[in-house]
Amino acid sequence: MNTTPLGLKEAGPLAYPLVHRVLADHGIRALSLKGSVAAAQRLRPTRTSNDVDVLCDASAMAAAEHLLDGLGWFRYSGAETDMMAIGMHATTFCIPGWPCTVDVHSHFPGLLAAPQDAFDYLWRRRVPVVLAHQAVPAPAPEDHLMVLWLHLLRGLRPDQEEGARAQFALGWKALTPEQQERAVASARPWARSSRCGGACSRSARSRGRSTSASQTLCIAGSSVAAFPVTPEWCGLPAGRPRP
Amino acid sequence: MNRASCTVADGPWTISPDVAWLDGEDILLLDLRPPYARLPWRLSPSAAAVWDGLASGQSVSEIIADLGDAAFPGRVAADVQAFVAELRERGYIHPHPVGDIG
Repeated sequence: MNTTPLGLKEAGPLAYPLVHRVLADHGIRALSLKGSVAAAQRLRPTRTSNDVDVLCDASAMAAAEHLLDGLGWFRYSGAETDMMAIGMHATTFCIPGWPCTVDVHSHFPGLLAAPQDAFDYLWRRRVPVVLAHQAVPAPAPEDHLMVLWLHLLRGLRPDQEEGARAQFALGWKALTPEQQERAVASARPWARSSRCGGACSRSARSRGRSTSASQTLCIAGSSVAAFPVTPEWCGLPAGRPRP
Repeated sequence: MNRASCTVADGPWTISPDVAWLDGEDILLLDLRPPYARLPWRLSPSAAAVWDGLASGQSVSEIIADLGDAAFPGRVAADVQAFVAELRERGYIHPHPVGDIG
């Protein structure tokens, strides 16, 4: 038997189906996020990740942690730990013998909606993504892009903004026009970004109908998308997402 | 591959839904069943060729023919048979349902 160690490049696409199977076999809903999943949806370039991410049903987070503890997957708190996440809304596990870690999130930073509401919203709109010949549930591409964008904006330094802008634009272009419309519609009620809130500018732009103001989605002053303005977006509302 | 003396059904065979598998530089198989503790199985080049054939719907005899070694015609057949038997024993492949189209 070939004993070549499992590499990071190989681990991600295999770890997602494994984590999904473990949780699903025990009735725990979870969505696979970022990494190989996002690459499969063409929302970001394929690259090697150190970890795999799942967004767990918030109501089942404790059960998921208990389950993974019981499998001998040990909790990780080392140099690569995302300290903004761990202890606040995610737990990192190591699978014995695997080079990657597994981040199990109960919530994702930047989402205004309550964790359970946000998960239920994403779950209703989920799509299957095939990795290693196994289908794993993932957010719809337009929702996933927003989640990735919120992740990008956390702690973004000025020298990183151009790269972030380019990455978002890449994912945006991967969406169909219909998905882009839905991305705007879903971003309004439950997602927010402090950068967007601070940098949004109002510009009058006709959309082929009666003159209506449109909001420009900005990152550091550069527009990456435009959509009709709504008071809710400008007001950065909190509370339940719209169905 | 072990060259045990065994004969398996010609197939075609179906890959089990309990197996995740990655086909890149190497082929790696991962058993997704409890206890969820198995590490991925990295196939040798010859085993990978057999797996590829099974995954694409080839029968065992077709795979043997493709891998055939004129100098040692029996060796390849024995190796392929043994590997397919091992995959079946592990539950990684199942006989293709009779009458199932596609």
